[in-house]
Amino acid sequence: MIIQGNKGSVDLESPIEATELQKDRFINFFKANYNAVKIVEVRSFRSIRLNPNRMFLRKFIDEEIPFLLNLDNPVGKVAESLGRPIMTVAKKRGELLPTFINWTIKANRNMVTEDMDKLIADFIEYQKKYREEKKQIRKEGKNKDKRIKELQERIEFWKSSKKREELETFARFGKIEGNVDDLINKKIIEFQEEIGKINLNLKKSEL
Amino acid sequence: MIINVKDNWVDFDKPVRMTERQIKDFKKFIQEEFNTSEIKYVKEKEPNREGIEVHQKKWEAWEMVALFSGEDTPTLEKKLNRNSMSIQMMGQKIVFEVLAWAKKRGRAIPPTQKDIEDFLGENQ
Repeated sequence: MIIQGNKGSVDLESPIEATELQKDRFINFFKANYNAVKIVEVRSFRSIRLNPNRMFLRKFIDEEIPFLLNLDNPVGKVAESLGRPIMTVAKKRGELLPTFINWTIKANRNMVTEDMDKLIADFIEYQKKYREEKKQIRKEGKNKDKRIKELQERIEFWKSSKKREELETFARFGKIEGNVDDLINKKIIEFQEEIGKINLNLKKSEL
Repeated sequence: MIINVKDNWVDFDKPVRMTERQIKDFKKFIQEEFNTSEIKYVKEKEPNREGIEVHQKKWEAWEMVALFSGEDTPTLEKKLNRNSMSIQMMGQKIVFEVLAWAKKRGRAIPPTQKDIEDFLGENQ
């Protein structure tokens, strides 16, 4: 049932079937012995288990950040409490610290005099907001890319002989007024202007 | 750590690193709760460090000050001519130690070069 690696990693050979009580006890066992334990409802379980051919990367979760930034605990103790290798925790701490320091400087916060727990909580909140904003910008960017592509296709269509023939037919029957060339150019300029506006907004949102 | 649950099933999201004591406690828990002591031992895959040479370059006070600049690792890599691993390892060590020291001594963060020199003087 348990897979034990030679470096200290532990896995389960497969998910454990448990009664409600056993499930609660399993969760409580980890909550009592480790920090930042998060329970996630899933649709399916992973198929690949601890084995000699595969390395497993465990993404850090927000719940772990307060422990990573906790001044009072040495790296070994933090690693133990998070169920992670010391090297991974040391590396993550080293990666997280410049961002944290940068934020305190920009936000005019004081790491020496302020309550560290409050400072870390605010930093996590800031990071969450920052990530959400980035996600939103990326989403908007994708929609804008789609619109630009559409407009470029329209430009090509308005430049095509097919469209010209269609407009000339309409003009012959008096369905449209004015010169066909002027109409085509006007429409193409309209599309190009819209592309220009989208690109300008994209640049602004990237700043 | 993430524990995945679905109906009456529980699982680790990814393998968990445990100390000898934690492994012992976990085995005991599983034995008591699920009445099984089955253990499968495997060799773990290690990161490929072949060809990587380690040269330790002494850290200067001004470099330590740079670790408090808030600049990201790629910028610091260029500025200090060091690799990301060296910066992250030193960063996590020195920043915590200097912060604890600054709190004790009532010094400001980010520290000046003088602060770092004082810190090193007291801690070497």
